[in-house]
Amino acid sequence: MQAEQEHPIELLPFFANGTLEAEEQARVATHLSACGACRDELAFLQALHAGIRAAESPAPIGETGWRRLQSALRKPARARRWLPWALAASLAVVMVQGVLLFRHTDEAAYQPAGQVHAGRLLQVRFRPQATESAIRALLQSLPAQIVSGPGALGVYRIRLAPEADPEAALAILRRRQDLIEHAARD
Amino acid sequence: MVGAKADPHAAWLEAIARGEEAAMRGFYDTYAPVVYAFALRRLEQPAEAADLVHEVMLEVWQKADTYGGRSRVRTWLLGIAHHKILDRLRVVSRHRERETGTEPDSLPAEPEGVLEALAAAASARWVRYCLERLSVIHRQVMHLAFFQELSYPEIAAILDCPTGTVKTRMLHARRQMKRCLAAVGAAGDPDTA
Repeated sequence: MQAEQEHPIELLPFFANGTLEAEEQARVATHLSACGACRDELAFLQALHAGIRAAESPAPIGETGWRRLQSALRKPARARRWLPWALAASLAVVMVQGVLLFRHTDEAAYQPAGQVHAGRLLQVRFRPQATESAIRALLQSLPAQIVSGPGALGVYRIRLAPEADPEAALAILRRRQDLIEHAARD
Repeated sequence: MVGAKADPHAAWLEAIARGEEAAMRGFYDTYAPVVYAFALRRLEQPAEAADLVHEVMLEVWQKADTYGGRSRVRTWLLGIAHHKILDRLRVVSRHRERETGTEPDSLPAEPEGVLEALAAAASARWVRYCLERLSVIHRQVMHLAFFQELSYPEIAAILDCPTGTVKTRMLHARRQMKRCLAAVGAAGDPDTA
């Protein structure tokens, strides 16, 4: 740890991202001019900085998200105060329906979705202009089925049929930019 | 730290506080991807991250007048997002165990294979692979420093922790990243594998 106290090692990541105050920036720059080990470390951190920016997936935030927010913004405050109660009531109804449904299922055949569908679930958001028939044709070509959604920001979860290759299906979805705004593994 | 007076986006918040929807639209277009990327690093599920963006933006609309100008808009916003993420994780509680025991007393040794690590850092695929293997708190500090490009006092303000904690987490995170990248870098180019 002695060497770390002599080298400004804790400040190097923030030298690399360009956020140090002027005094710290100057101190680190002076040290770097005389220290090859810290220059090597800085080179790694700069590569990591660029790598992390490149590694982040583009955010699936689009017009759908804004429209959902806009709708919420325009709700009167009074309505918003009632929303949690309305949601709680809706949730209670759904839970009761779920219990009734599952009472008739074969419990031995039930497995958690994560085990059954590992790697076969994808998340997609369709373009607003995509028609039902075009979406249906696309899903049948994979083949895949919608299993939930639309969720937040209009994202649907789809499950690929056992014979479908997840990588190939994802590639097909991403090529169909006329219908798909965003597609990713779940 | 960059003050609010230097942040031109503070004017958006003033307009939003007056109920101007056009200002909210501009703010949303600029910052929704920022909040989404931050949330995704903690929540890991795209749908949950997108839901959190909606919650945060709704809070901005309702509470823009609480922005005190003591920090950059981005810092203030990610602070709101951080607390909402913690609320969500408390409810779900599935991440609680991962939160504990991730602040080891001693640093991992400086790894060998610096050249391999440097080469692997150029591959987005390997960087993503290694980021996913970091603990949540270390991945988060990497994200805030290198994706959101925040200073360590800003990161401390967002995470509500001392600046020394941010620096220590960063030390752990970068050593673990270097160790992982050195290992995968020695294994070859993932893009041609």
